[in-house]
Amino acid sequence: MFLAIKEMKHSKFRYGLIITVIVLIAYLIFVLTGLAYGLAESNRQAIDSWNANQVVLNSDADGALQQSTITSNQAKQIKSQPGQAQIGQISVNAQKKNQKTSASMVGINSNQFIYQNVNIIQGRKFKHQNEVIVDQSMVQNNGYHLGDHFKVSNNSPTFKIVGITKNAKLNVAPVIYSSMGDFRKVKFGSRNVNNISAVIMKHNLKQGKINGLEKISIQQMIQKIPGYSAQNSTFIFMIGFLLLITVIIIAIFLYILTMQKIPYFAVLKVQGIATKYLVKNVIGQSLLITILGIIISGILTGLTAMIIPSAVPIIFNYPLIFGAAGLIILMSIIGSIIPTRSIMKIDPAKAIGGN
Amino acid sequence: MSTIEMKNISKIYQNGTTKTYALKDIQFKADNGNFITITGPSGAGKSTFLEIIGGLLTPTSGKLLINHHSYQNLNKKEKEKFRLNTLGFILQSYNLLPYLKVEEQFQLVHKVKKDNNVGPKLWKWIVDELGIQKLNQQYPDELSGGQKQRVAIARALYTNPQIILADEPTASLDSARAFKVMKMFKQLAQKDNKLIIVVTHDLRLTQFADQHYQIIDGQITKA
Ligand SMILES: Nc1ncnc2c1ncn2[C@@H]1O[C@H](COP(=O)(O)OP(=O)(O)OP(=O)(O)O)[C@@H](O)[C@H]1O
Ligand SMILES: [Mg+2]
Repeated sequence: MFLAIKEMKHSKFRYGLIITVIVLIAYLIFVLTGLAYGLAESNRQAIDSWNANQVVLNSDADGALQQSTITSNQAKQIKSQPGQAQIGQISVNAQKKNQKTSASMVGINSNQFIYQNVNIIQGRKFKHQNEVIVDQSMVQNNGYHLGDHFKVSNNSPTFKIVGITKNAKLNVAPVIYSSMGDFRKVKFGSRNVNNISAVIMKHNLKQGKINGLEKISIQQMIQKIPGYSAQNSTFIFMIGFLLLITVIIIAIFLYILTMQKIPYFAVLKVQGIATKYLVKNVIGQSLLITILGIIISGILTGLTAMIIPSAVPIIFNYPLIFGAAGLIILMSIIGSIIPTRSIMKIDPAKAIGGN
Repeated sequence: MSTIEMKNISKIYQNGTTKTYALKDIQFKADNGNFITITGPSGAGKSTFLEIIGGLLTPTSGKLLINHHSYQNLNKKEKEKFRLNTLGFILQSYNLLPYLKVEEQFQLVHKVKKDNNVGPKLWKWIVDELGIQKLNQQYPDELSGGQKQRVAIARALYTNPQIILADEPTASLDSARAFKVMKMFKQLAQKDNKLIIVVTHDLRLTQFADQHYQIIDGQITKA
């Protein structure tokens, strides 16, 4: 490391440039990781909070909650077992003084586990008709408050916010928990239609095929959330590409520097300085560059997290960020393989005689 | 005891179809305690001769014995070790790393060889003889050609090698300095029982040597 550090100190500009490049790439990787995680979370948070294993949907819905309707006759075929909760889901626009906020209305029954487990951070659970619980992002980002009234269409009932919950987002929209009756009023125009959207199962359903319905795992349903898997693969592709760019940049940079130093390395070899020592220094240099770059971009990422508006769906998840940093470091080691090989090939005899 | 013995050493460089006979059937023997100079015209094979002794080049034919052991049988790592512990090389150029200060050039050597380097007393003498006491904080590009060469000599001596091989070590020194370096080599050979072989163009320097050889057209003769 002696040589690595001395050289970096001596050629500050050169190494400053490459560290800057690594800082920018690492920063981009961190932000994309945060965005990928944040978006994925805001797609599935509410479902995750139910802590369930399976879901029963209409088989025509092809796994998509949004497209599923289960009639009361179909619902009756599902044998009851502990840990079942019916839900009704519809995408709505909450309207307050000309301002519209897209939201996901989820009707639930007060005698079932989703209602019972809703985590209230302010206010209380709904008890009466037209009372709802909303996700806190509607408070933070859209100006709603406990006690506010809003409609979801011109002829919908006026709902009153009686409770605030957290971590309740579905398909990037805040969840509005209402009674099943209120949901039916919004979706079907009447409280007397007995349809629901799905049945969430805490434990796997102990029942074979049911006509017209299908049971799938919660994970499968999450994959069918519109845009969810496409989004994830886009992010994975971008991050993977940036990692590849990191390898190439490190490899090119160290390779060029190594080529410039070959006559000196040849002399060092003549003097009996082991190839291993020189190789260790190049790998050390590559590690120093990336670790410095990661630390600086980590600080930038932290600052970003502090100033970014809460409406931006970005969540910096430590294990993920550390994982990404680990991958960048791995890339820098891979990037130093090529320059390392050229050091091993240096022939000390070339150092003598001045040519 | 350090001895170098070359038996029927030849070196042929082959570049495509052209063959250069750089060394022709060399017989040579040298013992420690001797300061040896070698002169000869440009292209005669002097550098090739040193490279073979230093194990940097493999001779096309013949045998190299160092301390009576065949040198060719050593593997790459053993040769590296031998160069680090036993040999001191002073080269024609590129001796100093551009991004290390003079004192760091010595520190680097110390990093890779911690033991059996020169003692403080001998080191001070070497530094004084070479007149480089005040250069510690300079980078090589802040030194004159002659200063660089003197630092390179000091660095080669830092490991306290038994055998010192030098290719034109005084090329950019004025004659007073060059004479001083030669006298230093002579003393190191006598007092510290080293074997020192110096290749030079300057015939006046041969007066300090215990033995003097000429290489002409790939053949060595004692002068
Ligand atoms: N790598 C090489 N490939 C081909 N020919 C070489 C190579 N190195 C040296 N030679 C040839 O071998 C001969 C001896 O070269 P060498 O470098 O030993 O000469 P020298 O006596 O050190 O010359 P100088 O005093 O100019 O340094 C020369 O004819 C040279 O052209
Ligand atoms: Mg030469």
